[in-house]
Amino acid sequence: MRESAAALEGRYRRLLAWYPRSFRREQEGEMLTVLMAGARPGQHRPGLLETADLLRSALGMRLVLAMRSFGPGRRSQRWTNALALFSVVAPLFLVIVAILEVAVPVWRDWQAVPAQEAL
Amino acid sequence: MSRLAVPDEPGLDKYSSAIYDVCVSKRAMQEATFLILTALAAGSQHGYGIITDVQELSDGRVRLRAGTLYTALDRLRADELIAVDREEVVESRLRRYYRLTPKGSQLLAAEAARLQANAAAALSRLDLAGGTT
Repeated sequence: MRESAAALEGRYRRLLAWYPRSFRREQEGEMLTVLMAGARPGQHRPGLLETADLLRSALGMRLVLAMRSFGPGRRSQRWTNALALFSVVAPLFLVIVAILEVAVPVWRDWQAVPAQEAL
Repeated sequence: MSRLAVPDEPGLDKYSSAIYDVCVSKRAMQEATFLILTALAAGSQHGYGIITDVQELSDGRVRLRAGTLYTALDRLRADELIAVDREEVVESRLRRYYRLTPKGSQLLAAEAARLQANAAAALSRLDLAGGTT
C-alpha cells in the first residue's frame, strides 16, 4: 500500500513538472496534497482524465505567462490570435500524449505478465 | 484590407478577430468559479476542502479536478477575488487555505443576485403560462 502511494506520488510529480517553474515553486506541494488526498486506496497511477486535466491546466498557465510576456500594444494582437488558435490545438495534442502516457505502461505491463509466468 | 499595412491607423481595432472578442468580452461567471467562491464564502478552506465542498454544494454534479481547481485559483488570485489565508502542515503535507477578499464577496453577491433575478423571472413566466402547479 505504501509502495503504491510512493509510486503514485512520483507519477504526480512527473505530471506537475509540466507546470511553469514559478507556479511549481509556490504551489507544487499543496497541489500534491490535493492529488494524494483524492487518490483511491491502493491507486498507483494517475487516471486518464486526471492526467489530461493536469496537462491542460499546465499548458494553459504556460500560455498565460507567454501572453503576458508579449505585453500590451497592438503588435500583441496577432500573437493573441495565434495563441488562441494554439490553445485549441495544443490540448488535443496533450490528450494524445495523455493517452499514450497511460496506454504505453499498461501495454508494457500486459506484455511483461506472460513473460513472468513463463519463468 | 490588409491590417498589417497600416499599423498606426487609429481605426485598426475594429478589425480585431472574433476569437479575441470572445476572450475579452464580459460573460456570466462560470459555474465552477461561482461554486468555488461560494465554498469560500463562509470561511477559509484548503484545496481538497474546496473540492469536496463544491461537490456537496452542487449535489455531486460538479467534481473539480486538481488541474481545473488550480487554474481557477490562480486566476481568482490574480484578479484579487481570493487570497491566501494561511498554511498548515498536516502529516508532512502542505495545506494552503484560501479566503474571499472583500472584492470577491462583492462580486459573488452581485452574481448571486443576478442569478436569483433570472430564476425569479423564469419562474414567474412559467406561472403565467399556467405551467407548474
